[in-house]
Amino acid sequence: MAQSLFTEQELARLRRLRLAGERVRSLALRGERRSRQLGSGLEFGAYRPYSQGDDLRRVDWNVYGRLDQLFLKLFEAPGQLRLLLALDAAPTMDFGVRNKWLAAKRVLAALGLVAQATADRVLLARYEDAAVQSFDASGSEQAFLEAVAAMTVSREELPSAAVRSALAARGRDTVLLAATDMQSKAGTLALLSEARRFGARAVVISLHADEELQPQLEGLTRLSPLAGNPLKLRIDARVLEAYRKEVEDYRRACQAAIRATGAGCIEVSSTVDLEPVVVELLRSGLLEGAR
Amino acid sequence: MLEFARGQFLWLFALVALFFVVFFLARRWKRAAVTYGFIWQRVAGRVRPPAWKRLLRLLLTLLVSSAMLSSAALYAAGLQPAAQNETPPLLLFIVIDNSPSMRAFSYTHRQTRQNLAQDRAQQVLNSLAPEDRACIVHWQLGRPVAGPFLKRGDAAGPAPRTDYAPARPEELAGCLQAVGLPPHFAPAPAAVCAVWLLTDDPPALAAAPAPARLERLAPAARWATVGGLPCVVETFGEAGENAGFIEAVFRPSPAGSEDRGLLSARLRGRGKAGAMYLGFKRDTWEMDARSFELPLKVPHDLDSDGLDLLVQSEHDILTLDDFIRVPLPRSPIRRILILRPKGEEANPLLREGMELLLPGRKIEEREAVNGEAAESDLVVMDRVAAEPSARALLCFGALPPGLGEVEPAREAKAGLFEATAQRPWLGFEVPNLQLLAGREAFPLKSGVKLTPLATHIEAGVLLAAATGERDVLYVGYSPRQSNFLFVPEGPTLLQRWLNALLGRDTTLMPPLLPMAQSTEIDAGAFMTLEVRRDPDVGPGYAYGAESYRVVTGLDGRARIGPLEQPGLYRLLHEGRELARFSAYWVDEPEQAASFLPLPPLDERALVPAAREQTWIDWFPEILLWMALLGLVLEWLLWLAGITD
Repeated sequence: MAQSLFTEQELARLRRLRLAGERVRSLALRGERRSRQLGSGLEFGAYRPYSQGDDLRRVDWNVYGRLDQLFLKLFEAPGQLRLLLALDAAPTMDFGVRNKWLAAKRVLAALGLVAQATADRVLLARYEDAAVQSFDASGSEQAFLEAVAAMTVSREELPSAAVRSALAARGRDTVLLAATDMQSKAGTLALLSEARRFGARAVVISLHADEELQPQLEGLTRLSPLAGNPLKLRIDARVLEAYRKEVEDYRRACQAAIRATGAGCIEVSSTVDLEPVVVELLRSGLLEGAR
Repeated sequence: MLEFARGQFLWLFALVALFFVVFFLARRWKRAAVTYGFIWQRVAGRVRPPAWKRLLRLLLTLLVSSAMLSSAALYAAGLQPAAQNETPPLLLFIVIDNSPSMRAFSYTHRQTRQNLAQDRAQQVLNSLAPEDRACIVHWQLGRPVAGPFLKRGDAAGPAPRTDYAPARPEELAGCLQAVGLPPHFAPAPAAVCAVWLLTDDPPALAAAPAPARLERLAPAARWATVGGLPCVVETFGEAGENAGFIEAVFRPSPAGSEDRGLLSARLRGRGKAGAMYLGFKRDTWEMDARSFELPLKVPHDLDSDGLDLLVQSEHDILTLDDFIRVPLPRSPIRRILILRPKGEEANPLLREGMELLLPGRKIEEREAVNGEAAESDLVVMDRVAAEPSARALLCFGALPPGLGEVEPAREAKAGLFEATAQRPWLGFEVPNLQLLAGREAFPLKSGVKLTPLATHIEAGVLLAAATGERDVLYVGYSPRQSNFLFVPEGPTLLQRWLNALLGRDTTLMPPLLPMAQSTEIDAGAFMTLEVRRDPDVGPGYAYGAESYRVVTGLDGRARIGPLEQPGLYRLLHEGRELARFSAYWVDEPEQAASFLPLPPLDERALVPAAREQTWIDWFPEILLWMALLGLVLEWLLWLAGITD
């Protein structure tokens, strides 16, 4: 499954970046980084299904009473860095010859892999997911990649309570990385608003496909938007020019709205090479730890 | 209903359907998945014209295109209103009389009746309905001949000239029945066949009812029938006088006459006759009579081919019979040469005597020169022993060396003659010569090749003659030193000899021959004769043969004629001219045709009355105008920015 996201060469390069992150971490003092330890802390971290051998004392019996399933209640130690990878799973993400959805997963997966070296915990969820998947530094790289790869496009949704609670729990130790194409900006802006509210740092990776900005269309065309109503249009140079201007204005407005929430924004094409994006984020110090 | 001349082209209407298919295939919407649907919606709302404009543009395009294609298909299919085919098609036989009397000149129209008939035929042709056909019938060599089927607008063509066009209804009916119907007339509706006879001499025809379609063409009383077909007659021009030859006989003059012959002619009317001598002079007579006799005073030495005689009267409408060409028979003696001894003066008595004996001939007189050729028709040798080239020789006191010799001159007393027995083969009778006398008499030596005619008791043979390839008459008297030319017997002898000589040329053919008659000749057994017309056709030319071959029978006789063209003819045997004669046109019924001008017919009545037009008649035009207006409207809407 992981091979569907990265080639071996890409994985090798990502592992080298991860090693660099681990060296930094080993030199840092205890408490200067966010904790990666789950289970013994004071702050609730996340739930995970019960498996044989787990400590029954950590079972959340309230949840068992509601759902009739056993979940372990995990806690985080204070001072740990958490990286929340949030994916906008709107249908418009599944578009482009170089698919935006795949590009988003690759970017977040790459950042997650690298972040496992520097962060104490990596949280993964789509906007609408009812539960946030949590991966600590000691966790399996393979499990993380499989979890990312298994994510599918669903529908346009606002962030779920789980994602919001993940921000609310330890907002100041959390870095939010949201991958979206900003075509349903309400969810993203709501997420950024939550992040700002709880003091989390946020960066939006704004993805686009080339054919979205420069559509190769001409003549009588029945347009079938991935979200929205179909329409018929005779496309010529004048129409294309108007479309390009509208898209440009829209994206500029989105960037302004993102920055208004105090979040960063990176424009990424679905055709762009993966490594420069990761390196750019690493250099920004975003994953260096708590403030 | 509409009808189509080329219904197979209606398949072109498939182009309209094909156009619609292609048009809508070209307008099919390509599917494309996109994002930013809300932006596309916003752009569409800004740039896309409203639905009604797009629908209007689509409808205009379809309207204009389909109307233009439909118009093209209808045009190719030959759309026409059905009204023209509601009546059965008409086959009209336009019979144009091209007999000689149709050459009569109309002084009102400044044309001949033939030209008027041709113009009328063209008018009738131009008045036919599109599906009607016409067939023009003329006479050629005495038989009616039908031309090809003609339709409206075709050219009628000129009528052949002929001098035989007997308008016999039974022959005409056979010709019309042999024509049949044009191919496109079958099957039903049945065709209407009718005859339009353009003539100056309507034949007697039985009355017949007018066909339904042509009732307006002429009153019922004017319809007749020819071979079962309804026929209507129309005539042209005006009646007029005609004074032309209806008989002409030419009799050549005897040898001693000053005239070449006597022409006796009979005219149809009172006219003025004139004669024109070719290359000689023009002479005219005021022959204000129905017949005349005209002595032709043409010099015998004039080598003319003929004499043209013209008859004219005031407003003579038919000129064909105004012309007769008289071939003048050539005399065997047209030139005379008199040779006298060298150093001696001319003998005027001898010259005058020859002029009296052969009037109108050209006479030359000169001294004999040794070795000089003497060539003429008749050579008179006055004591000159030359060897001339001539048809006849008159020798006084000398003979050509080839014929014999004469003895020296001696005195001969009168009345001492002894005439020998008559020689019938000479063709003349030797007169009594006993009063002849002369101081110089040249008797013939024995052994001459001449036959003695009279012998002097004292001198011997003084008169001798020979016939054959050339005639020779020997006179032993000197014309100067004897009374041969002063006493009646001498000139009588010469006259008889000359008459026999000239009468030896037999006349095979009468010089004038009516064209429609034949004549019998006697030329010799099994001779292949050729009758050839002179290429100089003259005013009476016609359509027909110009040469014939005739073979005489065992008895040597053959019949020549009737001939098909007037003019001058030559009778030839192996290239040698045996005779010359002139055929002149005489057809008394034609010359006396009782022309009765009839009121003209209204050729516009050939086409059936037009019915009330409906919108169907205008359907093609409506389509075309719709296409044109659609184009203009589309252009205006585009200019106004209503359509894109």
